[in-house]
This record gives sequence, C-alpha cells and structure tokens, in this order.
Amino acid sequence: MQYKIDKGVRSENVILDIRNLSLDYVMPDQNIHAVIDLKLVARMGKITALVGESGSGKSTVALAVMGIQDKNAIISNGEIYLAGTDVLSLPKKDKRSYISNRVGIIFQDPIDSLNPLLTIGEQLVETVLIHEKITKNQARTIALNQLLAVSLPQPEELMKKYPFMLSGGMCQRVMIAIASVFRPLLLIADEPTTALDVTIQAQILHHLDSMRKRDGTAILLITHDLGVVAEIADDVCIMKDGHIVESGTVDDIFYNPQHVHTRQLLAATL
Amino acid sequence: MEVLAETLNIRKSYEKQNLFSKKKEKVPAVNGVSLKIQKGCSVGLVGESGSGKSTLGRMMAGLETPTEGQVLFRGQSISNISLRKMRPLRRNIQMIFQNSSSVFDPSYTIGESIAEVIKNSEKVSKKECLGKIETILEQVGLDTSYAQRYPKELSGGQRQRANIARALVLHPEFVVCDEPVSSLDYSLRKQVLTLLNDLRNKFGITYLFITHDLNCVPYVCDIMAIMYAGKIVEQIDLKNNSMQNTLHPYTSLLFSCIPAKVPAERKKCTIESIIDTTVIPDSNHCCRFFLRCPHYTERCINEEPLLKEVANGHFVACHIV
Repeated sequence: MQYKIDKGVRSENVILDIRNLSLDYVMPDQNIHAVIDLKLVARMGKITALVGESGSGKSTVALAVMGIQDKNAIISNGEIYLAGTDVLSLPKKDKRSYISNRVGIIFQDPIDSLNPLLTIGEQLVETVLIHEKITKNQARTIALNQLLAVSLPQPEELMKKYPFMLSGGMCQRVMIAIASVFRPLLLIADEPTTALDVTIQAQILHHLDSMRKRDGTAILLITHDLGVVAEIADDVCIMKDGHIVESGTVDDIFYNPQHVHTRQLLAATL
Repeated sequence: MEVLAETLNIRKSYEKQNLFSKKKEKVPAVNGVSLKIQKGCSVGLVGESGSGKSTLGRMMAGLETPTEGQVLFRGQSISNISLRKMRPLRRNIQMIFQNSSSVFDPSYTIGESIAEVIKNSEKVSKKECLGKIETILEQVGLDTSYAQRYPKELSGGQRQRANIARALVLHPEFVVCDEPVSSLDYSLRKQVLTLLNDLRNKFGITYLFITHDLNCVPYVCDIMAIMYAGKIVEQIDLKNNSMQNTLHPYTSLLFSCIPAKVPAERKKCTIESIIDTTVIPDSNHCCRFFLRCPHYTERCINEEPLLKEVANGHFVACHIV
C-alpha cells in the first residue's frame, strides 16, 4: 500500500501540516461541524499556538492529530501530514505506532492523565520500553535522567511515588517527562497550564521552551490564555467556531490584529 | 470607617489520619492571621495553591470553625455560634464558590435554586420571590427565561453569572469570592470582574476576593494581601500605594511569573530564579519563605518576621525590608 507522502514539506522543517481539515461530530439528531476547513502548520523548534474560546474546536484538532478522536467524530475532508506522511491515509495497524513514535501529548488535567494505580517510575519505564528495545535497568536510567531534565527534585524517591502524592505542577512535569522521553518530533500541549498557579505555569513554560531549543521539537500549544501566547509562542492561529479566523507571527497578532475576533480577545486582556 | 469583618489571630489545622497507624498528623492550613476588613473596602487575597487562602475565606464566611482564634462579623463572634444564631447572619455573609457546576442542584432549575436562598431567610409570597429572582438575573446580565433552565443547559460563563446571582440575591454586606473567575475563559473573565465591580457599586458590597491571578486584583480590590504558607506576608493599600511598590521577595516572585502582555515584554531568564521547592520549614521560629528566598540571611532562619508598617497602609513581614 502506498501512503500519501509529500516530500516537499520536509525541506522546510515542517513537522505538522494540516490541510483543509473538516471534522463533524455525528449526533442522533444533528451533526456538529466542530472543525471546518482548517489549515495549520507547525515547524521544527517553533511553538505554534492555537488560541480560541472553549467550544471553538481547538482540542478536537489535537485529538484528530493523535488519531484518538471520539468514535462519533468523522473526518469528512482534509489531510494531516505528519513528518511528510498523511496519517489519515495510513492503515489502522500502522497508524498507532507511526503517530505515537512521533507525537507526544500533554493534557489540561495532569493528575487525571496519569494512572493512579502505578507509580511514577512504572509509568515512565513502561513508556520507554514501548518505544525502545532495551532492558528494564537501562529504561530506568533513561527515566531518571528524564525526571532530572524537567528539574524534579530527588528523582529516585519520586519514582516510587504515586500520582496522588504529588502536586498538580509536579504531575504536569512528569507528564512532560513522559511525553518527551522518546524525543518526539511534535509535542501537543492541550492547555498545559490552565489548572496551575502562576509560579508553576512559569516553570512549565520554561520546560516547554527548553525542550524545543534542546531537541528541536515542534510544539503545538493549545490555550485560551493570550498571556501565555505573548510569553512563549512564535506563530499564532486564532480559532473561532471551527474556523481559523486569523493566523500569523506572534508580533502580527499582537501589534497588528486584523480580524474582529482577535481584537476582541486582545481587548479582554486584564 | 466601620470594621465589617475581622479575624483575630486565627489558626486552622486539619488532622490527617495515617493509613497504617493510629497516629494523627496535623496539617496547618492557616497559621495565625489577623485581618481587618472595613466596610466598602474590598480585600484581594493572593497566594499559590496550598497557601491557606481558601481556608481563611471559608472561615470568614462561617463555613469552617477555626481551631484557634475568633472571626468577628460586626464585632460579633461567628466562629462558635449555633446554626440557629448563624441563620440571620447568613443573609449578610455569602460566598461565591469557584466551581459553578457543583453549586447548583442538577435537578433544580436555576430559579428554584435561587428561590431556596430567598425562602431561607425571608417570608415572601411566590410572586415577590419570582420578582426578586427576575431582578437579580437581569442585574447579572442573564435573561429572565434562564430561571426555568437547568444548570447543565447553561455554559460556564452563564452558570458563573447564575452563581453570582445566587450569592447576591439577598443583597449581602459581605461576600467571599473564592476564585470566581479562574474556571472561566479569558474573554469571560473581564466580563465577570466588571459585573462584580458594578454590583459592588450598586449594592455597597464588601468583597474578600480570593485569587491566584495578580492581574485580577486591581479590578475589584482596594487592598491586596499576599498569603504564603498560612500567613499574610504582605498587605498593601492600593489606594495610596502603587501595586508595583511591593517589597516582599515572594510578591516579587509572583509578579515575575505573570506572563508578558505583549511579545516585546518577554522576560529573559527570570525563570531560573524560581527556586524549585515547595518545602515549607516546620519550625515556627523562622521565616517560612527562606528556602525559596534569594536574599535570606541568618536572621531569617532563627527569627520569624512579623508584619510591620513600612508606608501608609503597607505592611510587610520580612527581615530584609
């Protein structure tokens, strides 16, 4: 089987290229058009922010890229090129390994996204072993280094702890450690700091920033907080009701907004 | 000015039962706070999660009993009185909770939930009750038809407005707002803050505004109090002092963590200064912040700093200031 491949995008450091994506949620009595004709590009080492209010469809885009959208979500049109290959054209058996080797994701609620019955160490080692054929001890060393990389104190102790024993900020850093353990090309961060304090938020943003500088990871940052965008993003897409209403560099969006909705969002800044 | 609510050196600690032994561990949440709130002078309480700001708010609303100390409302203690005596006071002390979806009974309409509040403290006819509900819904910017809707049919922002309506329907004098905007979208945040401000001007409400977002504070508050590890470390009167004049190292840390407003204001390398520890020293004889403080001296380890006035209406608890 021949997959859809676009070699042109590779040269421009484009990791993720979403073209004309449309996605509908099929309900018994109606269809909801959650994403309509969406175009989005994420480049190596850059942070692309997808900004919108709740219900604008930004999380749906994240789930569609990962291939983990709900069962009633039907992709009616478009292509999602991940590292040059259209993931929607991949057969089901290859899809999971293709995506999971290239994309990491962190979610809004860090405590809920970890397994409460496994220790932090078990979860990290499990992830390492899925991606690489090495011994458990080697995996443990990688896991420890990974925890140090997100500057968590006393990683040896931490490996034995359960998620409920950690604070929200620590859990989110563990999530970053897990998501970045196999050096993904793309990291999707779905509202990574919304549930956290300002001090913790600054730390998390710092880790995302150092990750893209160190590994050249492309980051798709999904948020509704324009403060976070102003602090860290390179490119910005403003989303409303499933459409991208404006996209550009962070300076364009903040100093020269064109669309009414962008202006409204900027005016709502405290 | 009249003092509306006051706390006298209150403390609250929770007991944590160890799973395997009978030993009980004491977890202090609020560690000796004296705070005076004058009528018409709203106070913003800022701190990280776990600093005890919500516990302090709940004690001031009469929902928790302090382990030590007293909470006074109009000079009368509310911390150890019976529920029967509390009921007439309740109409003057209300609370806006953080999570608007758990405030309403899912099987009641918004109107029924608000009516419950009215019936609790007033004997009114059905018609009067309905009139009151409609007025307050209009005042918070909701259509009167929302009284017939169920909580699940409302969006987050609408539900938060209904939540505010529920707290303000009796026109209380003192309202504790526990992170009223932190669960809301960015664009709704400003709307709700403006609404709280309008209602304050209209009804003369005094707020205790609990938040972790420093940007919200100047919108609704006259006084800002910064809390760390169960203590107030800095208190500043925003009428006489600029918010930028704060002195405590913890406050500067909080300020440095606020994201930039525009890309040109991006800070470089300030993040390294956030020393990564949430460890709070056990001892009561040292500054509780010294492990994270970039300027600590020997005195900070041996002696606990007390709140002292450094300018008119500006108090700081720090040795190096």
